[in-house]
Amino acid sequence: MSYPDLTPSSSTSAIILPATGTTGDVAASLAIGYYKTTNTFLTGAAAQVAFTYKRLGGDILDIEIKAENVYNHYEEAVLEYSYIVNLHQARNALGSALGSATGSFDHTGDLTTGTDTALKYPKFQFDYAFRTADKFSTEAMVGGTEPIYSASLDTVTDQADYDLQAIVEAAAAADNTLPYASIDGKRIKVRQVYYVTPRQMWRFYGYYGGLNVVGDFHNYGQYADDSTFNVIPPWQNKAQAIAYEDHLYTRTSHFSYELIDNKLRLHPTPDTNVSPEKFWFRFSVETADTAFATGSYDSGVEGVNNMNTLPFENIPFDKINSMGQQWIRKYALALSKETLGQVRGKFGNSIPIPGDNISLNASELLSQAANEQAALKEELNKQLDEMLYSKLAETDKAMIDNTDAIVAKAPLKIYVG
Amino acid sequence: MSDKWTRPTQAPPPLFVGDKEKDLVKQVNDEIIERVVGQQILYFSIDLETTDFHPVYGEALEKNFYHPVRVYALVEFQGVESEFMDNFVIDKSTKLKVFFHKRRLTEDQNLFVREGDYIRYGDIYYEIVKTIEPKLLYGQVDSRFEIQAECIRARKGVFEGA
Repeated sequence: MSYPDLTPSSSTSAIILPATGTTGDVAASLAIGYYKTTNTFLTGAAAQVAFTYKRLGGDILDIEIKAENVYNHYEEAVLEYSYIVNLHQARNALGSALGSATGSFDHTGDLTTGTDTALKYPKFQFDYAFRTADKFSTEAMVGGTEPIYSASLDTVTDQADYDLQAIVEAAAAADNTLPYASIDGKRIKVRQVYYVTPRQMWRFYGYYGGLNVVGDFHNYGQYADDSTFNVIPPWQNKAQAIAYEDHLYTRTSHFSYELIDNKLRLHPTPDTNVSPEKFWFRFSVETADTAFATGSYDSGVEGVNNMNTLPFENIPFDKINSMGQQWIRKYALALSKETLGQVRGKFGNSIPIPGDNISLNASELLSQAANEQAALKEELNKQLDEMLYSKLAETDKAMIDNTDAIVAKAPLKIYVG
Repeated sequence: MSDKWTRPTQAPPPLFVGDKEKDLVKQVNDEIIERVVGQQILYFSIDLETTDFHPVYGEALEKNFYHPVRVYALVEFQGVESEFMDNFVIDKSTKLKVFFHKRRLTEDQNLFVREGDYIRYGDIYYEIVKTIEPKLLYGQVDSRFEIQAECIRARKGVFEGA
């Protein structure tokens, strides 16, 4: 008869964290699997098991989680780190990335089309400012990308009121080659009403009409343009031209108008004696997607519009430096504590033993895990906030100001030539 | 159709305790009893087939027993108590209460606690005089959790394990 085994093994397979992880087991156990083909990640995840084991005292007491749990905690920590850093970089780069190409992603956050820009250092584009200026240009009638159409109406003797909306729609219905032929009942936005008189009138009623002399602070305006040879900068010529045009269209105009609900009323009512035969007006067509319509040479409407469409993948594991790696280890450890706390706490923090019950440390583990996770994220966010590009500029300015202040206190020597 | 059924590994709702939970309880108990507390006894099972009993009184002057088995259990030493017996003599008795983790005994050591078996705790032999199974694990009718054995010190000559 053989002697009995003094310490028989348990027939129940106990869940105990092993002392070390196995690199080859990592990929298959990952819930997301974003980094499963990155060897450095697999090695790091396996090493995290030993880190957790030692940190939680696995060589003294059992840790009732599996190595697979730790592999996943490690992956979650890397993804969390990537999430926070990418948010930070989005704040840095969004202003410059607006309108640039976006991409498509799969459920892991991997780009399926497009180019990852999470690691790029952007060239500043100020695109939002330009996009804003674009609209102002349109409204100021000096450019922009919104198409502006023109049409005309024939004045009718003794008729002051003209329905411009109806005139445009009638014209569009009659001629489908017109650029605004697709108006299709959309409201027009009238931007200018004008009529054309013979240009020769300038010479007689133009810039003598109380406009003052506008030429180069000389008596330039007293002479015709083509006989004046003052050398002046182009902006001044342009300013003069604008002034001439304003003068021509306002001060010398016989007519004025009011426009209500695209109904034009001319003052005075045209008659057969002095009325121009045609009035012209410029207009744009309001559409539901005006904000996203593109002009012929416009771009960017289909591009990045906010943080969500930035083509940022999760940060490649091998681009995370030593500071990031340590953050990840600590965060993964906090996640392991959380899982262990949940396991030990399922029975209300207490487990029966023969003759009694015993309290486990589930509450402490869960509390520690929550605090550590919050502290780690707060620390990382705080550091990253200090490193926003805008903050870096502030820091540089402060350094320069302080340097100036120091230099200002230094005694100035009298220069002796 | 088979009338057998298998308990699911994970407790389906609304059950709270499945095999995983029971295994966790056993794991924690094994750890606490064997590696944290570490109290151990030697358990001597009497071999009923080879021991000669008195045909009337049922006593056996010499008891055959199986090889002793080391068992980790929670032992509550209840002290030495003196008693003045029938105005005749002072007697001393020493009592123990041993709390066994049932699954560890039955599943891993194939051991069953019985009245009349002996244990050794320290250098002293004790006889099991009473057993109680007071607790079901979370009220599960098929999960008797523990065995309590009340023991008294074996008088000299009644049992010699060596």
